[in-house]
Amino acid sequence: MKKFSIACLIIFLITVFGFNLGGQYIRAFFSPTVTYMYPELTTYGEAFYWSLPDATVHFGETEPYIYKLTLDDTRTREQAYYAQKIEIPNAVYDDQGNCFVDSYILKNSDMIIVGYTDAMEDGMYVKIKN
Amino acid sequence: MKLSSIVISIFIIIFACIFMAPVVITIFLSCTDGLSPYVDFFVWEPTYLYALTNSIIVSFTTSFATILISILAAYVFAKVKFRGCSILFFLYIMILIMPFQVTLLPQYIVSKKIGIYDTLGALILPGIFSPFAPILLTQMMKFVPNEVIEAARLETNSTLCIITQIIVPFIRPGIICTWILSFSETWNAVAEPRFLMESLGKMPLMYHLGNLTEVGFFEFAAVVISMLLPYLLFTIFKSEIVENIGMAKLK
Repeated sequence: MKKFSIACLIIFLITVFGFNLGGQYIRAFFSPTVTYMYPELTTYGEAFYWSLPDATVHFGETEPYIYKLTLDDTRTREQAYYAQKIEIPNAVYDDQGNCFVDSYILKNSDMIIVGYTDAMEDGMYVKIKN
Repeated sequence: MKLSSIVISIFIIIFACIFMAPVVITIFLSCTDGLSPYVDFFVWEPTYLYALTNSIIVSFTTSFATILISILAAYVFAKVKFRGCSILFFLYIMILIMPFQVTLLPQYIVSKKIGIYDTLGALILPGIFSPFAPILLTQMMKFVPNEVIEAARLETNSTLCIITQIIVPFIRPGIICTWILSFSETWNAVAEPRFLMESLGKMPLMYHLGNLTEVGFFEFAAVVISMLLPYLLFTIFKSEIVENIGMAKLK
């Protein structure tokens, strides 16, 4: 019984610290899709969202708003992604309206949202599918 | 079997069921939805996982450091005669008797002054110098025969050697028991984090469990996980704890 308890204790501690260190990668790997955003954005704006490593954003001629979504470990699953409005100074537009977003932004975001309206607020948490 | 022993057995079983019911219900409800509440705890609700890690770090660090310091303090109280020893010990007991809320405000001020406010150090540092462990160990060390220490003195002059090689093995069950009690005290602390910390990400698990507003499968799973570590430690050191309680009764 004592040996079994010691084994359980070791497994428990390894699990806790393992998930603590690797949880972010696990969450990013199994990252659920965004199903709900700010209502105005989904009503008036055409929102595109996708996980990395998709780098090309197609949104036509209108200049969009881009929100960087960062996985915030201090929040619950319901409010996992922290939205931050960002500028895209190095965005390159081609003739077809494709925008190649700065690789720096992509590298430092877990997900980005592109929309035509400014409905989303800076610093809001985005709900994700349960 | 006599009728009286049957009646007593029935009473004992009823009382055992009453005491065990909350734990059994909690475990049962945490498993009703399968393992998903546990997956949520470890993967999708990082706040709770981080809180559990904070609890483990704070509890282990505090209890180990408490034992290290308390053994030395207890040796001085039990085996070294110096002027003011009994007054100092009396002051220790006074602090032990005092409700811990009394010392929370000074702890808050001191932690702000020395810059450990809102860090895990704010929970660890005051916990290390809790008066409970030295008092308990002092009482145990008083039963170590002076002749044994004097005999050891013939071999070595190092007090540290005498403590580690003679006294610690002698009162080992007592040290383990004190360590478990100190661990449980830190593990279950709710008021201290509330006073000494601000950031939610640095709070221990018990703080979050104390602030639960919803009662669902996930919350029950969190409660079960919070019980697991103290339970495992108790199971591992059960014989030492029981032995120590037995020793205390004999004395």
